[in-house]
Amino acid sequence: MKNITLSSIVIIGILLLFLAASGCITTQDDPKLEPVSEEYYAEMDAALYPYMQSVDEQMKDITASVWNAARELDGVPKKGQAVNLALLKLKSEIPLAYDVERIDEHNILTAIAGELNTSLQVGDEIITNQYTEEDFRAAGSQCIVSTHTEFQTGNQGIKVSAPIYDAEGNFDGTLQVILDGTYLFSGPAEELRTTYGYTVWVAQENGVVIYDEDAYEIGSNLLEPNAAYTPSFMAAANDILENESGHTSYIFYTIDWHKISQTNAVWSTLVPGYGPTWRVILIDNVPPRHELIEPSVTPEELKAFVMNAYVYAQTKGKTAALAAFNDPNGEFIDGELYIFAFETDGTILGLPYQPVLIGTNSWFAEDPSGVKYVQRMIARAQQGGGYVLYLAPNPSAGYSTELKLSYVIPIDNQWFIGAGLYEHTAPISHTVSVDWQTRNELIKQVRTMRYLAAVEGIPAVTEMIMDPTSSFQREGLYPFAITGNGTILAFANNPAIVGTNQLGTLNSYGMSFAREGISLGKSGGGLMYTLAWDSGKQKEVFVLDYVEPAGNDTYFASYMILE
Amino acid sequence: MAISLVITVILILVASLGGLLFGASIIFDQSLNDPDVLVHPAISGNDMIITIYEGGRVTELAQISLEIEGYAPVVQNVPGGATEIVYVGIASQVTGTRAVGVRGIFTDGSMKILKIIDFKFT
Repeated sequence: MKNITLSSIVIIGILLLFLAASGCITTQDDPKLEPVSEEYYAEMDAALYPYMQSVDEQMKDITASVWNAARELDGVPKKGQAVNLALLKLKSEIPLAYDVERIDEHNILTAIAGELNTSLQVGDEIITNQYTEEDFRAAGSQCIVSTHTEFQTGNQGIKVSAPIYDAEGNFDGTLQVILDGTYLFSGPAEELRTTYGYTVWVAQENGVVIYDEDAYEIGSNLLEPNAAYTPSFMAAANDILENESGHTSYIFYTIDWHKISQTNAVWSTLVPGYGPTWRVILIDNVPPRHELIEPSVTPEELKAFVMNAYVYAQTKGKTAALAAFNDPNGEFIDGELYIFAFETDGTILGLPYQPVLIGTNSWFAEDPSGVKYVQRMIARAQQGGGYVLYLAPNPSAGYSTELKLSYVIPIDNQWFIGAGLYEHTAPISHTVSVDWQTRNELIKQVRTMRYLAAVEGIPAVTEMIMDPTSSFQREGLYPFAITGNGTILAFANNPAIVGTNQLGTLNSYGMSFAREGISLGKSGGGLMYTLAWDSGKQKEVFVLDYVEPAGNDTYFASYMILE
Repeated sequence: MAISLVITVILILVASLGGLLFGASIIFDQSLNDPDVLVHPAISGNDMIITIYEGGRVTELAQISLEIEGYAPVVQNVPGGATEIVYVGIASQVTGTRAVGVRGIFTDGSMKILKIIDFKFT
């Protein structure tokens, strides 16, 4: 009996050795950590410093704006035109703001300047991040900055809050701004990547990741068990959370999750206001830029691929079609092309290479510039289908961010399908240079137009758009105003089209910028990419467009050229 | 005896229900697999393009009537073998969200709604 047991152990041991040698079993921490010189870490520190500074300056500007606006609202009735204008003005000063809210002392919303499609209504109770008079007393003359939160609107981010007092100096509620926390970090991160070749991730001191290039990592907790965490990464994470600054190395997966390698990191701590502190970790785990690749699929072939899937869905039914689209070895995989499918509420129905995401809602998904690309695809599908542009990491190019052109088509009112190709040769594909400061200026410009329209009327603003010396003009930005029926009211860059109807004007991707822009404005406003005619260059150029509704069926917009 | 009777009745009911569902699924599948004509409308600037794909009666399709909510239907002939019918300028004044219908008119004079879908024109 003893011999049989011994032989079994030997056989199992041999089998395990064989499996290990064949690569079926690997240790999580292989390869071994190599020593890193102090000079190397010092170089990384030198790159981290300006990054920290730009995030810190953004937060200082934001908290100063919120605090000052709260002081202007002291003694002002909780609702009414004065509050509405103050909220619009504050929103124009903070390009990262989704919503600006006035809340009474019982956490009831009394006024809001936000996205029109928000589910929040005046009179609703704000249930996330409720702060009391005592909380603000403890914060002193600082704004309270929340932890990373999923808000009632469905947006995720950070909330900055300041107290408001009545004429007698009694606590009278709060002024709150919901921020796009991702863009706070991703804008300067893109600059960091292109200038220094590094990237960053950010965690709260409680371990919650609040920024990562891989959006699906945001919200995960470093202190909770995770099969992807190697022992050296867990040790490094503890070191990072326990110390305000330092440097470390760990073994972790490369960005494509295909292999593990050594990542070197330096970190420092940022205090954005009263509340959590942020550990900002700069790492050198960035794939090298790849060679320019000629597109292997044309936009026409992309459209034909989607049309073929459309016929399949219409003739076989939803269940059979989704099963076919989600089969990674099925007939709807062709090179880099595959079919994706979504409900028109943003729920993912089909993603053959990321089945774990099926059933999740992606309504608020943003690309690195803040374009809500799933919402753009839904809007395009609701026009009967067509091409949509956005930035996305390209798996076949080391996950570097590239311009993606997708073609979408609705199956019925409930769901749509599409496929995409990477526009490798597009000017912005490789330099990905949506300059974050210009992008923020773009949003500020349009929101300022909206605020001025509320104060002085729409005609006053259209006159200012046509005046190249007016105060809100910015170099490199091209503001315009359009009515809901597509008539251009003002556009200094091309006065010839003022007064004309542009609903029928198409770019070479068959997009009507007027229909798309008005549709975006009607849904509350936001960012979108398009191809627009540049009269100076006499050719079409890729642009990033920002739109906001101005009331009275008028929409203000502006764009920046991306090449 | 009574128990056997109840079981027999339940079995008959289950079998009937199964047969009914099976029949319904066949009808449903047949309607999907063999549409009279599979079409898809889309907005293209001020135009609307109706793409004609396939179907059991595609060769009999003589005309298409495009119906935009709030506007009069517009009928166009379908030349033999056509895969696209373009309604030039039909959407030039159309904004907002509207239902769009495509009705097929066949060579024997019969008509059938081929597609109904909501579009956001702006």
